[in-house]
Amino acid sequence: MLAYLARRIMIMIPTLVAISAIVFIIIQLPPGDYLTTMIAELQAQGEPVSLDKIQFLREQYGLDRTPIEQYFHWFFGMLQGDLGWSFEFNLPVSEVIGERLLLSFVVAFTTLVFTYIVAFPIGVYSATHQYSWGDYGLSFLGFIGLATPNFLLALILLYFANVAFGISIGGLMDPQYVDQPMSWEKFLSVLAHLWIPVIVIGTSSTAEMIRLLRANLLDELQKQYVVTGRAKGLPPRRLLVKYPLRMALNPFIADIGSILPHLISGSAIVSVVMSLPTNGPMLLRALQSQDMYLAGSFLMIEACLIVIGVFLSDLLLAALDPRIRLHGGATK
Amino acid sequence: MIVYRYTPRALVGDYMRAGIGFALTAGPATIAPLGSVAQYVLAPLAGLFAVFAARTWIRHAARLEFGPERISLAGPRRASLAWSKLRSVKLSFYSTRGDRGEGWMQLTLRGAGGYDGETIRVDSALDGFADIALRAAVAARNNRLELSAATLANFGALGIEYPPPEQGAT
Repeated sequence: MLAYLARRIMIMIPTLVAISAIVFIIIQLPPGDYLTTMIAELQAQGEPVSLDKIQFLREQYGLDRTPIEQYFHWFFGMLQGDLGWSFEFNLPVSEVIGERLLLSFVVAFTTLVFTYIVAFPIGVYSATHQYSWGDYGLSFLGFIGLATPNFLLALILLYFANVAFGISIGGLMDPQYVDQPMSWEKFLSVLAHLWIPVIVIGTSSTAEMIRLLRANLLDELQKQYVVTGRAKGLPPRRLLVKYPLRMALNPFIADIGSILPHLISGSAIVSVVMSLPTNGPMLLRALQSQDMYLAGSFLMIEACLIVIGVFLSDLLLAALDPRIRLHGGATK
Repeated sequence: MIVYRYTPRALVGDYMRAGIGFALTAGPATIAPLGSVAQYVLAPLAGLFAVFAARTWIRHAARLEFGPERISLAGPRRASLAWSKLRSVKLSFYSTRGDRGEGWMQLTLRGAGGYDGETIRVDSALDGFADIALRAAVAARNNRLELSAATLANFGALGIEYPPPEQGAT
């Protein structure tokens, strides 16, 4: 396993270097930079723009350097834990994204737990009771969950929560707690608001997971080893849990790679609709205003999480099912 | 008694991986500010590559003595396992490629503990790996061991039927 770990990490390192270069190229692709966007906005408002000041700011922000110099400055800064400077907030990027990262994590993690808690028993029930009324009913609900646009569900739930429970519209806490240090009251307010984005963001992924688990488990339940186990008199629950369920979980483990990046970008459109103080809307704003180091850092953190997620799922799969595929390559 | 060693070609690759990995992680870890996130991430990775280099050297110096009664590891790490004391066999396949091609196998033989009952791990870069795997399958059958589905599939990929037929059986 150590050899696997070392080889796998050796693949991650060049991947991340390549991703950092691609991210930097992408955020440099739009014409102009943050200052040209700012000048255009000031001119549109009829405000005078001092060329000397612009030149000063360009030097101050390092925008007068060549793109290659800027890339290496950013890249080596990241290696030292310095994500760069946000032009728009006039603060280090790490300070700008700090609290939002925590709230994004809380929303994403709670959504993940909600998804697993709801999807797992339903998926198992649907597969073990195939073509029953329960299976049809739950499959119908699953299709509704898949088909409903998240932002529409968000608007409906916001209205319902306000009318039925008196919860303030939008945000992740009552307005009086915004920009306040964490306290017990603020924590309770976050909890009272959290269930709406969790349901909104989690519904489609729950429905997806139910369909996936049902299909995988049905495949496994029809295999010969299950029939043999049944014929030998193994108790149904033990037979289900010991082999087919474990095999059916492999796609879930393989899916970790796509779950982790949601911790950062997590449903940007839903966050805009619900005014959630998470990273999604800030990434959108940073891309619009060409706040290159802020946008680049978001994209880089997201890329890192994808690479780490795929790495984790590969490790888990290697530990749980280290099986050769017979059509695969040879061993050395 | 037959003596097997790891092929130098496979070990050169692992030495290079360990060296490059250590340089790429230890270098930035030393220039990162003390106590920074980058240092917390990179320093353990550098440690991992250092351990990997040490393990590669141990494999380089290892000698596996293989006979009808026992299998023994000689070199920096010593272990011995009598086939009659074999209690668990695990044959795993690892690949870093998406299609799971071009991987390697690792055979883990666990004994009952104590003298001649130690754990021995060998991987497919070792000369004579297939012979050892076949002998392990025979010992597993003789000791009536239950093997996992992954191990059975991997034995199948090596062309080893499990349980292997008794000697002299048709």
